[in-house]
Amino acid sequence: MRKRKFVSCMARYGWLLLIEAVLAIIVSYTLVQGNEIISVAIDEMLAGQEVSFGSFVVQFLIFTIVGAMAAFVQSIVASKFAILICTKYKDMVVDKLYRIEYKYFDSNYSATLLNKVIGDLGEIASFLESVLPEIMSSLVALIIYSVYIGRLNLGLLILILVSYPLIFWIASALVKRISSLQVTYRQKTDTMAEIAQDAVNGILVLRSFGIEDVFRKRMHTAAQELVENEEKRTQISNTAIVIRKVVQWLPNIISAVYAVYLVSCGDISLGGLVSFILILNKFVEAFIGLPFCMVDASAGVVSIKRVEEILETEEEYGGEQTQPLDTDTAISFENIEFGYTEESQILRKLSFEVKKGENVAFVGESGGGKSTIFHILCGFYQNTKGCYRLLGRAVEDWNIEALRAQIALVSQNVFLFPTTVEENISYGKPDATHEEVVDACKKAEIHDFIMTLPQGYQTLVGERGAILSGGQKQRISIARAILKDAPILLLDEPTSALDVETESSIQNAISAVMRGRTCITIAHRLSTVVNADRIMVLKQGQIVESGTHEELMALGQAYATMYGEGTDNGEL
Amino acid sequence: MENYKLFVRSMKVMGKKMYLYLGAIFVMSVSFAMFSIMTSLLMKSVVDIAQTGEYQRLAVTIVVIVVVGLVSLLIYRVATIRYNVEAKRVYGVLSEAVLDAEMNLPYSYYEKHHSGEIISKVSYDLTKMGDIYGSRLRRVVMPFLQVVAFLIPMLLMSWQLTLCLIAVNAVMMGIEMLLLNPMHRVSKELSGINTKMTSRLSDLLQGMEQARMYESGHRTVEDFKIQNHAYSKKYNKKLLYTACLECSGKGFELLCSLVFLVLGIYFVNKGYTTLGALTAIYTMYGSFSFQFLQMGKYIPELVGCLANAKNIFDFLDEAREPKNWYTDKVDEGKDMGEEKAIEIEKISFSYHEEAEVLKDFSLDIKRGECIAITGASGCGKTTLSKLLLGLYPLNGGTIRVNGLDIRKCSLTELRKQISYVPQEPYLFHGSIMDNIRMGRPEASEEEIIEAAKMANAHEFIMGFAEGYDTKVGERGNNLSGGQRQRIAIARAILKEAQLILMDEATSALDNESEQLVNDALRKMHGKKTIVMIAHRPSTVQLADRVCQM
Repeated sequence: MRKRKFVSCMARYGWLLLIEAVLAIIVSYTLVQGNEIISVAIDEMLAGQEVSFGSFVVQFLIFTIVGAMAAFVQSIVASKFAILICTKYKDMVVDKLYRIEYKYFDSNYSATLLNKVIGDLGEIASFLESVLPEIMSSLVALIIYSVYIGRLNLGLLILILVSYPLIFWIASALVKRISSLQVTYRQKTDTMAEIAQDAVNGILVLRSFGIEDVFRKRMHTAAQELVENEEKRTQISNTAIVIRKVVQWLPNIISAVYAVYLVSCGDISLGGLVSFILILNKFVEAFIGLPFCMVDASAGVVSIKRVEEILETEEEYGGEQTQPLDTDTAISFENIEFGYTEESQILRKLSFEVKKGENVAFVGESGGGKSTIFHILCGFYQNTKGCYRLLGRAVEDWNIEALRAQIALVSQNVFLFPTTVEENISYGKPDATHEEVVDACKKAEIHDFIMTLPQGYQTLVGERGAILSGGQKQRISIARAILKDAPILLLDEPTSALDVETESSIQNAISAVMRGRTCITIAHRLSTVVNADRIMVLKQGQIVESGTHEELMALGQAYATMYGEGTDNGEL
Repeated sequence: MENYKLFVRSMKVMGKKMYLYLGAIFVMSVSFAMFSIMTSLLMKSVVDIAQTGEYQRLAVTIVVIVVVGLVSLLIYRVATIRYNVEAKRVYGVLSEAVLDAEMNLPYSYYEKHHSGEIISKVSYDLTKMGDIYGSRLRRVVMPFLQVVAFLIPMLLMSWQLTLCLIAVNAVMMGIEMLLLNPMHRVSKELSGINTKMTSRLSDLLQGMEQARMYESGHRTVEDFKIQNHAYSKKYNKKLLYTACLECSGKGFELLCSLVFLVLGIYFVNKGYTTLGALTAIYTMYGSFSFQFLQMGKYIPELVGCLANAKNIFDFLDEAREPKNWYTDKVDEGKDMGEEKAIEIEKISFSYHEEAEVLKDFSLDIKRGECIAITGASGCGKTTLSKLLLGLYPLNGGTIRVNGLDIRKCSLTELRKQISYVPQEPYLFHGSIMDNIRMGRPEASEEEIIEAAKMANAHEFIMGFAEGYDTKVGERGNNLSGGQRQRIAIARAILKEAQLILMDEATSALDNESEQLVNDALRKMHGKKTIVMIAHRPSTVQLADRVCQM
């Protein structure tokens, strides 16, 4: 179950891995053949025969060329394999992030996610690129050398094979410890990245409060913990190396002594002994290389697990339906219950209906669930109890993208992408012409301002719209919504960040946009509320009153007390 | 040359620990080579003994060799641990330096650069640079030192054969050096694409709500994929170079065996050397050649990482915000207890050359006064608050805060005078308590609760299951706008500055929250000087005086 996505990715390009294996065999085989030639030549020499260089030099050169070519292609295939998988995998991850359950972002910081996708995928790439081919080459070499030594003397091979498993046992015990420390290591670097991101994003507060030292201290602590973790990790991984070296020596000594014994008995020739020693070296290299690679591989596996965690998170689900039903009811909530956590319920059995073309305003205390209602309307939170219907269809039946296509949302936090003004506005409709963009801006009364910018519509907005004021950002967001031209409009405190002068004009713009559309507003202002066909007062996740402004004021309860004060000032 | 300078600078980052670090690498290399040499000597004795038949010498020889080998390993272990710890320590030092740089850039830098760029420095460039200390340098230096360590016994046993083997290896090294520059170039390009990918991803993650509401969200995803595929394509170039290295490596390994064979047999026949020495040289040569190859192999990677180090150094070298925009000689100054809290004298300012946002603007604010600054969108209200905080240099005129002249005093001192509540109340990772404490890091818990009460935040905080220890979530996502703002106000109150500067602090709040915030302001009225940039009549109404811009 675990490495499901990754394995399927690997399987897709499995044929490359196969080619890689074949090439690895060729490379190892040429090396063994080279040694064979040496051994024969030494025996000939010791026997006092004339060694004929000419014949084996040609042979040897052929081996060299074949081996080098095979190594060349093997390297290309290995890298190709790695990059193909990584590219595919990255695509999968970013697609997933775009479709993942929205609540995932409530508990996962974007710095951590960024670090995961960029950092861990790098780790995975190096695993595929260098560790995996090494494991494969070592395995192939091991088999070929075993065959060679076995042919020389079966006793020798058995002696070596019996004395080595100890290495594997030690290595695997240590790998477990190391991989848990590897997890802590990545967590520490995550923390460090988070501190750095926090500092940049909150720079205005940080600077005006002069709290650079607090951040320095945090980073310092994190860095120190990293060093401590590293000390522990090295102690263990180094113990692994030292023990392995010693253990590997033991059979070396034993088999060397045994080989001397065999020579003295005349079971193998002196040339055979030299050749055995030469191959033993390479054999041992491959043999210890293998558990060593496993340690590296464990780091890669940790990264794979972390990314798989993302890939395994539930996606937003949705049905097949893309068209609304023919109905008068735009939105209906029936006994909707919802809470971000198990304990705290934000919405309690909330029910209401909005007719097509109606203009409804929500008012109520902050944290009372108004923004949550918007999130549910847009399908961001799906696991609600009760029944939510949009344009006649239950939310479960809607294709999630089609559902969102019905809604234009102007939210409280306007996010502007760091590109041009025009691109930001045409975000509402990717294929919009320049004229359409300008038209939307005129309606949102932002056109004149944009024309005063140095490059007009082509001006780059800073990150999170740094060069624009709150009101300007809000109007760009409205222009975006105008361009989207959806039947339902959700306005979350749309005029909130505007100043008096622009407010009246934006109010006109909004009324123009609202005409002919179903509109739900989270409102604070008298003008918005008075114009609403219906006001719903939200308290502790329930609607306590609803009616027009006059009706509710006449009622003289929650609404009236809430807004009694505000009316004196001409706003709420 | 440039690489050399970068490298020297990378080492200097460590300060005195550099010697410890480099020393550790040296000891590591030599002791590790020593162990391999012992193995070869063992093989030499085995062959010699087999040839001569002096079996009684076998035991003594083996014991001596084993003891020396074990001691080498022990030394190796101590050095390795020291090395790794120092490597991570310098990574920590660098992280701190980068953080320090990113906190102290001129404010305009943050407005011009995408924070994804900066995050990428931390997440990608810094990690790669850390690799220099953690592995890349060792991989280049250790082979070199080990090669030297191996050469000594090899030359002693047969200098003729050894020199021939070195000659072959040298040719191979040359080929690898040729690949150095193109490798560097490709690495740099790959790093560039990576930065773009990080930015796209950061856009997507931070603007997720909008990305999902508009079908254009797909475009950001597609954009990422395009970069991803561009990376993959560019990578094809890199893999060719890597393959060339691999090919020459394996090819020469075989070629060297050939040289060894032909010459070795010739020399043994001529009696220049013994069969045992030949075996020893060859077993050592395995390690020697391996290390020799490693030398070439990892130089490009080290150079690649130096490209990342360059990005980091460039970032560290970015101009910092000066102590004062106008003068090097900072007058520390003091609160002169003047009657005027703020004097703005004929200031002018512009972001770009052409359009002046403020021109000859003057304003005096008395101590204890509560003033509201209103005006149309884009008239420079927010700019004014940024200027009061000294985030930008003025074009003309001056500002005095509590008698401190912005043209003379240090910016830190100036900012100490002001408690700032921004329009978007940024909350940091951590608990509510941590966030309020940011106002005055040394404040006690009681003082924090007191400040929260003043800001009308105490009640809702106590409403959370974990109270003040509630985590605020990224950018304070777990809280509503009004709650965030009141925490920001509590933070400002805790700072205990005479002057409170609020930039549209209530504009994004609902009516009830606004009343709570206004109520908090009323509590401070008269005790502090309050400057609020506002347009809501209900907020403006609190002011003693309104300044229309």
